[in-house]
Amino acid sequence: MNFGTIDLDDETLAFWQDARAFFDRHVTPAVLEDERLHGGGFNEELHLAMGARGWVATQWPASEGGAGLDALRARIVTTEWARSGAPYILASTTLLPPIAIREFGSPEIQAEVLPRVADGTARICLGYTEPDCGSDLAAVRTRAERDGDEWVINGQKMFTTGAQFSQYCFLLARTDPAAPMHKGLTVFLLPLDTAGVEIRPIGTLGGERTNFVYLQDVRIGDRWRLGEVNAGWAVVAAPLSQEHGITADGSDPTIGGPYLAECEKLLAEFVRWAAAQPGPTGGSVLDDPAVAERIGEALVKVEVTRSASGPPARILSSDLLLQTASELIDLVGPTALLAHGAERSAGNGAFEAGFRFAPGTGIYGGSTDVARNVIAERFLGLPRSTPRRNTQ
Amino acid sequence: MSAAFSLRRQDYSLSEEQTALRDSFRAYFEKTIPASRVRASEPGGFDAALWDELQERALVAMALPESVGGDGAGLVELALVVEEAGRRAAPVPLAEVLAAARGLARVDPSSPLLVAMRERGAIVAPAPGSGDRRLAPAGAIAEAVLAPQGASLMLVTGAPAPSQPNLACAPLGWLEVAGGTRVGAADDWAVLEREWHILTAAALIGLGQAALDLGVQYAKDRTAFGTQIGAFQAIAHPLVDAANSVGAARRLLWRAAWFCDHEPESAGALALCALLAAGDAAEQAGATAIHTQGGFGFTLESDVQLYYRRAKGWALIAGDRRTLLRRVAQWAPHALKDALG
Repeated sequence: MNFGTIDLDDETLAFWQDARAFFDRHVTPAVLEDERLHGGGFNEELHLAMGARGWVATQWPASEGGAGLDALRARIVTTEWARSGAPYILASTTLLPPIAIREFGSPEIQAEVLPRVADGTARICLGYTEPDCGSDLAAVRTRAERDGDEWVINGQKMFTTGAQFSQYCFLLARTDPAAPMHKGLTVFLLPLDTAGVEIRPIGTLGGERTNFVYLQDVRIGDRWRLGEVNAGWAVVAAPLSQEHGITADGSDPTIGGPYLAECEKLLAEFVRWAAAQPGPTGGSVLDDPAVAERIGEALVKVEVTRSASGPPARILSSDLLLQTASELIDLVGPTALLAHGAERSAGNGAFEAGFRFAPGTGIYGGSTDVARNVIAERFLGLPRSTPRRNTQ
Repeated sequence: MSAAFSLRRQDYSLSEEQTALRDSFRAYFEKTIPASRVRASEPGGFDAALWDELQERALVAMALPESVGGDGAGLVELALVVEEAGRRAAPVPLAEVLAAARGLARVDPSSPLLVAMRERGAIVAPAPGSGDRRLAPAGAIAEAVLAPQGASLMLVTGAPAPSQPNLACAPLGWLEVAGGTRVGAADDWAVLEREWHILTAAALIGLGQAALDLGVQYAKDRTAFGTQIGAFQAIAHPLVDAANSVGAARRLLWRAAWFCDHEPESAGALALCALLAAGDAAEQAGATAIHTQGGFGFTLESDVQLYYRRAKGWALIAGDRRTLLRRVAQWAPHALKDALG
């Protein structure tokens, strides 16, 4: 057990100062405003600049285009990136498929794709779910049929966030409709510039843009297949477990980290707002005991959530964000409803934006209910819930 | 994310020695304190014979600093031990006595009471709150209490008060704390209280874990509608939420204890948060386990009720919730310093 301050040598300190300067330089107010307006989850100029430093894949070895950073320096980059408020969604999903590409891709595909992931020129969106699929990936219906040395793909993917900025889609498709549901699937790395691919935007409550990806007679070579035919379940498993935070160790903030950070930002916004409001008995609103007690409750939960890791952290942080975003609007009152730029908007729209952002965090990346199933079965040893057809 | 160039380790792992300590006390308490013994101690909540037996484990000596001849154990280690006692709902005032012994050793290292605590298991406990008459946590069994009075920390000796029946079957008693001997200042009380909060949080985590384990086991054993009831998400997911709460609160408690041991100046509201979180988690685990057991869960035959009642009681005995929450809120700028920039 150790929570002590890490001793940083001069070189590491210099690295850190350089990292902060880098994000200060690239994450301009314009970058942040673009993300607020369009919710793309990505900024190409920043991403390429990170790629030029090997910072897209900080811990990949230099021979593969990464920066070969040790865990401490990688954490410093992550810390400064988060601090800058820059978009990060596509940059983080892009790093998941390479786990499968390394394990299942041919040497040629690895050589073609991985260096471009590392230098930032190739981004990869996740073609997992579909309409009527949700978190049940074994139910995908997008069909891939073999035609000689090629595959012909037809279907529709949904919530393919970042597709509009991506070069590839990590695609789960059905190759044997007769097999049990999770045994008839195959994974492809689909180049998105292939004819027959159409990307259409989906707007979300939180302001993030995500996509439909329509696939009509999309024809790709067999070289883009990852893993054996009908063995796609194993291919998606490795990156999926990472996305769900299952393999993450305690030092890793996991998927819940950004939600907790968002929650802390909202609380900080409230503290700033409240400090400037006169309280009922002198002092500020923060001195109102009724307010203090509710903020106290929120801070206790923040410390609890900070202490969690893995799937529990994913659930706790999402639940906490939902609860806190609602609570803070109640504490502020009607001016918390006012949007960014509205007259006398409390926190300049932060509270209403937080309220809209919160529900999605319990859904994407595998819903909190799926995380609860994982914990019930793997951690508590409870029997599998609900008869699952993919086990048959 | 702080503006300062500073990062902390986030290492929650236990050392081999810590694991061995925990396992040894787990085995000891499992052997020594069957649920029947907890029940037999009700309603007074104190098992004098068990307290005598415990003296052979020399926990007070373990908790005292080496400067007064103790073993100088850290709060992390003591929390591991007290959690195991909590897991058996041990009817002994361990958190109170260990915190009081350390508090007394800081302000009056040559106090004969310290010798009495070590040699014959004399019970000295904190008496929080304000006013002259207080509902003291171990008031019905303590021969002395350490009580904050204005800017002073007072040692008040005298006969124990009559035991008052209560939800938690805790040895509560109304004590007169006016008078006594001034042994320290408000700051000394603050440290004592903080350590007591941490040890109480540990006991609460033990209660919560025990209740959770009973609930999970029942969900595996019991069948209804043709299947193990743990296969129903309506049963499984609340158990998961309780497990998440207990697990995260335990890690928070360890972090709070570590800071008190190593960097008390940076501990902020961590001990308060740990106490409140542990109480919430233990109550949630108890309520969930009772509901999981259904009709059986609310019979007196089920051991879960032992944990559920104490979860609420032990948390409240360590401090009035609304007061503690307001104290947590005072630390908001510290707790949110990274986000505030």
